[in-house]
Amino acid sequence: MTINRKLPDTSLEPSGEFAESIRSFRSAIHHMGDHAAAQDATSAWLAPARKRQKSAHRRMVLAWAAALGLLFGGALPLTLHLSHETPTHRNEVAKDQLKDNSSDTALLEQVDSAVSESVPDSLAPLAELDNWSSESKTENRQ
Amino acid sequence: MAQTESVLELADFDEVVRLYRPRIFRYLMASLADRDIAESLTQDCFLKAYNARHQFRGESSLSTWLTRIALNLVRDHLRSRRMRFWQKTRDTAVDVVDISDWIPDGASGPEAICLQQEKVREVWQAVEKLSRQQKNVFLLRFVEEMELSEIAESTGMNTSTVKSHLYRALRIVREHVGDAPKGEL
Repeated sequence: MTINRKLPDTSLEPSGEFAESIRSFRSAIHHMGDHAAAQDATSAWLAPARKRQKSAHRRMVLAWAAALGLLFGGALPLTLHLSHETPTHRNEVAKDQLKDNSSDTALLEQVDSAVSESVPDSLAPLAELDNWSSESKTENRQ
Repeated sequence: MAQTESVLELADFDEVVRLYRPRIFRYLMASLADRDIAESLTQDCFLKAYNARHQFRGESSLSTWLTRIALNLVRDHLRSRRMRFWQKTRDTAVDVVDISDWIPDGASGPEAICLQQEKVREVWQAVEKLSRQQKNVFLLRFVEEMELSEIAESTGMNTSTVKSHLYRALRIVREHVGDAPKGEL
């Protein structure tokens, strides 16, 4: 909370030795300023200021150009990446998947045919053993 | 009438520079304590004034208008200096001013001159401790001897705020200078 107090104007005017110190301070500053101003301000006096102003303007333009360059430089790879997700590309991916499915089916059919083939002669004793085992289980159940 | 006079005054820009350059330089010098920067900003101040001379309507005096430009330049300079912290600090600046070297020659003896130099240096150091606003108000009041209303117009503050800043500035400077408080500010 701010309390507004009316400051007496007399409190804003120094007096005594303090006032003398401030007067000396003022004199010193004025003396310094007068010394600097004694140098003639010719038409060329403002030339360094004009040069600084132009440099500052050039720096600002370069900074904006760099910022825009970074912005577009970053946006371009992103745009290229997004172009891979077009409908044409998606159709091609679907076709590839279809091809894989058909090859899997062919493989399964191959396995089925291999399994349903007749037992070779070298493995015949094992097949007989398997048949005897299944017959004895059937008799036990009866 | 005064408005028209101000506008006409600006028409002769060489004369404007001749009249107001010492004042603007003094304020910048006292604010920044660096002669080289004060000179650069003085040039910038008058260049800005020259470029904006057609926009000056004479609603304030030319002095107030130029002071406002100088105040803004100081503010911008200090802001950019904070950003450029890797650059040389004020302590190593070549053109840092020893204000006591600029006391004008008077009739006083060497002892009085030494005492005066000491007091001036104390005031200078005390002013350096003030806040930006307090410093502006103090310098405009006691170095440029501007009226409070003119200071308010230059700084964009209202008169009560100017008084408040001035009161605090005087108190700080007085404490630093170490004058006796008996009935004095």
